Formats: sequence, C-alpha cells, structure tokens
Amino acid sequence: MIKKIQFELGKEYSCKELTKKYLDKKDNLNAFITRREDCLKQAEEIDKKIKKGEKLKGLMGIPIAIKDNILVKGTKCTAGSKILDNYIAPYNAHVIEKLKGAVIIGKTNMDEFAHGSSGEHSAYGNTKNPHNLEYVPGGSSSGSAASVAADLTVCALGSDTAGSVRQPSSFCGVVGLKPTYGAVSRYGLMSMVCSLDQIGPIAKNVEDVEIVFNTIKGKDERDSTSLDYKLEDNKKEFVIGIPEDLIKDIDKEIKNVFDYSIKKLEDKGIRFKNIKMDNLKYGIPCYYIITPAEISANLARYDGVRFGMSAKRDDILSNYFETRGQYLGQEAKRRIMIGTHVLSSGYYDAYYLRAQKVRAKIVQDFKNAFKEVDLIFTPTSPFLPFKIGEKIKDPVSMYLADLLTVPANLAGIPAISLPAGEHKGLPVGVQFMAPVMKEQRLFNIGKIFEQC
Amino acid sequence: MKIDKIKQIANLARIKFSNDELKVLTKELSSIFDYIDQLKEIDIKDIEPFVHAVGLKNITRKDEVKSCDIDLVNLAPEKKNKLIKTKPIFND
Repeated sequence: MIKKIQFELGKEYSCKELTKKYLDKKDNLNAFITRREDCLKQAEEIDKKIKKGEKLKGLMGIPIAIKDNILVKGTKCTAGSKILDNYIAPYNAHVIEKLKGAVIIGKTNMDEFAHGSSGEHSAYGNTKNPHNLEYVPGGSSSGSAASVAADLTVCALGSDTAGSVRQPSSFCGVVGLKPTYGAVSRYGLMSMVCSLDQIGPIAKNVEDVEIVFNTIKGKDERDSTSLDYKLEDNKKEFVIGIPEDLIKDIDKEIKNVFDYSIKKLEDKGIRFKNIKMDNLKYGIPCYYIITPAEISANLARYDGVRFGMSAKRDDILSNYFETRGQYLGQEAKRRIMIGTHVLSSGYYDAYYLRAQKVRAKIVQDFKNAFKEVDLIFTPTSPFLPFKIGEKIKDPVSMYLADLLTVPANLAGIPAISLPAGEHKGLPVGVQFMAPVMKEQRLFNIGKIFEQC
Repeated sequence: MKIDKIKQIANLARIKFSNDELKVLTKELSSIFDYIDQLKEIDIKDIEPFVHAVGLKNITRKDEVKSCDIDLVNLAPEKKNKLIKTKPIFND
C-alpha cells in the first residue's frame, strides 16, 4: 500500500489531498486522542518536493498515526493518562526524527502508560474494535491497531512490552511487529518497562510493516541499548517449531484457525515440529514481577513537581500523595503498588531476583529451540476479542491475554502477528517468533503466509 | 495480604487512596500475588539471573557538558525565573 501511494502521489492526487482525506474521516472508534490538523503544512512541503521531481524515499508523503506515548514535538502527549493532560512534548522521539517526510496525522489512544490488553484503561475513553463496536480492539496500542484496521491511517507506530503491538493487531485483523530488543531506539518513548519496551509498526500488510521498520530502526546514541545490524536471511526452507505445551489450553475457535494455518503452510512445503519449551508458561507470572517493579521506578517521575498535572498542595508530601492519587488511573496505581512491594526491603530475592532467574530459563528454552527450528509458531492471543467490560474487573484474567506474546519480550526476540482468519466476524491472528535480529525471516515467512 | 500491609505499600509509593480503594486493592493484590507465587515451584538453583537480551555489556560515554535547547523548565507546574519551584523538603 505504501509503495502504491508513493507511486500515485503527484500523479493522481496531491499529498495535501491524501492527508485531508484521512483527517476528514470520522473517528467513530475513539482511536485518536489528538488529530494534527496542522500536518497539512507538512503535506504541502511534500507536494513541493514532488513538483521539483524529488524521489519519495522511506515513508515520505505517507499518513501515519503515532501511539500517544511517543513524543512529537509541540503536540500534546498524554500516554492515555490524566496526569499528562497538559503535557506538550518538548522534543521529538528518535523514531519521529527517522520518519521525517511522513505525515503524522494524529496521536492514538492507548491503555494508560501502556498498562493493559484492551484499551479500556485509557483516561480518554476506550477505543472500539472496528469489526464489532461492542468489542475491545486489544491493547495497549488500541488506537494504533484500530485506526489502521478502519483505514483512518495508512500505518501506525505502537509500543510492545508484553504484546501491546501484536495482540491489538490480532484483535483488529492487521499486521504488527515487535522488533528485537534494541532494534529501534526508545529515546522519546515514555518508559514503562525499560528492559522490555520496543516500538513497533502496525500496517495492513507485511510489506508495509517491513518498510516502516526499515525506516525507524538503527543505533541511536541517546539509547545505549539500541543496536545496528544488517537485515539479511537467505533461508528459503523453513522448519517451524510449535510449543505444544504453551498452547494446549487456548480457546477452540483460536485452535481451529491455528490448525488451518499450519495446514496451509504445510501445503507450501513448510515442515512443522513439536518442541518442548517447559518454562514459557511461567512468562506471565515472571512478567508481573519484573514489569511492576520497573513501572514503580519509572512512574515515580510523575510527582507533580517537574511536569504534568499537580494537585498544588502546600507541603511536598501531600503534593506527591494527592497528585498521584488524583491523576493516575486504577491499573497504573495497581502496578505501582505491586512493584513497590516486590522491590521493598526483604522481598527483592523472593520476587525480583527469582523472576530474573526464571527469565534466564525462558531465554534458554528459546536458545535450545532455535537449534532445532528456524521459527516458532503460535496463535497471537489465547482467546478471541472480548466484549467491552468483560474482563475489566478481574486483573488476573486480563493479564492472561499476554500468555503467547510475553515470552518474545522476555527473551528480547522479534515476533510478528498476522491476520489468519476469523470467528463470527472477529479476527484471529497468528504469531511467528524468530531469533534475535532475524526480522527478515519474519518478513519472508509473513509474505509466504499472506499468499496461502 | 492485610489492609495494613497495603497502607504501608501505598505510603512507600506516595499514593493517596480512599478507604474503599484500599479494600479493593487488598483483594486484588492478594489474588495477583497468589497467581505470581507459582514461580516458587520452579527450580532456580545455580541459575544466573537474566541481564540483557542481546548480551550487551555496559555502554559508557564521556561525561561532557553539552548545551540543551529543549525547554524543560517551562513544563513545570510552578516555576520562578528559569528554575522549577518546589515546596520545602526539609523541616525547620
């Protein structure tokens, strides 16, 4: 789609006309927190370049939506939280610098600070699933996935800490990539879990996701964990592993689509093999120690003193307590509480250290598996999109949404979610995982899968 | 988990909760920790804790003074001239 638009720009329509078409679309999903009307000026600049005969590279001229935890200079950036209701981003994230020439049409709705799997934890109202407005679009990149699926944008950026790009992509029937940890700089992404967060693209097909990824990836001095590596993979024949144990309890509707996907790939000559990865099932309990721990530290910055909303009390302690009590949402507070407890004196060894050791065992499972297979294949979500309100009162059942996506984050490996079918009009996605820095392998298998 | 424990954690986390919120949290955190506690069944003897996905070692840069054109002070709820204003943090 991106290549097609760039081919047509300046011939069939101008960038300004294209941008206006997207800005004028009605957002009946509550997918956006901010729409950037002023981006028409950017579009005019692109039109001037086209007139001069400049060749469109990267994402030049392409309308893109950005998750609202990524900083776009001069634009409001809330991360879905009331505590940042007055926050105007003072600089651009690294990915925004990389996107130079793309037209940023808006900032998308999300679970507050990316805590959630349904979009319902946003302080700006929940986003709806474009396939059925009574259902959640998944989360936490709820608005990014929903806006791509409803063609309110051509493509979008999300962030993925436990599945927050892939799970909403699966729920909305679009393609979403969680890159290798470090592939994309986190500079200007509001920190949730520094050891897991990655920015990733969402689009309507694999080719577009690949183009966006190639535009935003690379080393950045301002994120010392960022990496530079060549994307190459010459593998033509794949052996794909299925971690049987991990997927044994998934819903029947998901299993049916998954089994059918395997069959279609087998018909293309791809071999499958069951693999033993006993520790993956501990991914969620492991995640719910590491994550709140890092969150409790990262969200300490919202103190009502330096930026964001403030309760403006007369003494410093009441100011902290009231600001955080008043402006942080329920799930954010819950995670800060869990994290504060697991890091508190006397509990570190029992929780955090133990979780990091379990995480090492999960990483070892992947290392062993990738000696035998080239890719690992699972559904993206263990269940179908659920109704708005269905899981909101039971945190643990909401956390289980990440069962199949969280292992890739814990191991730092790349993974992609692809639309694979549907059940009663609700999309079902499948996921491929590859060894670190092997995104190219995901794009290659993704394109094969799209043609099945 | 008991409500007194939740109050103690809330104090460390610097968050004000109403009594009703504290009751709900006590219930929720208890069930979350029951779930998390399944990690105790895993044998972690002789396992080195995870450090980094791609095996990066410490990355350092020179400690240099650089100018910054980003106006961060302007974002503060209260400011005085070019400084962020805060309440006193020491008692008399």
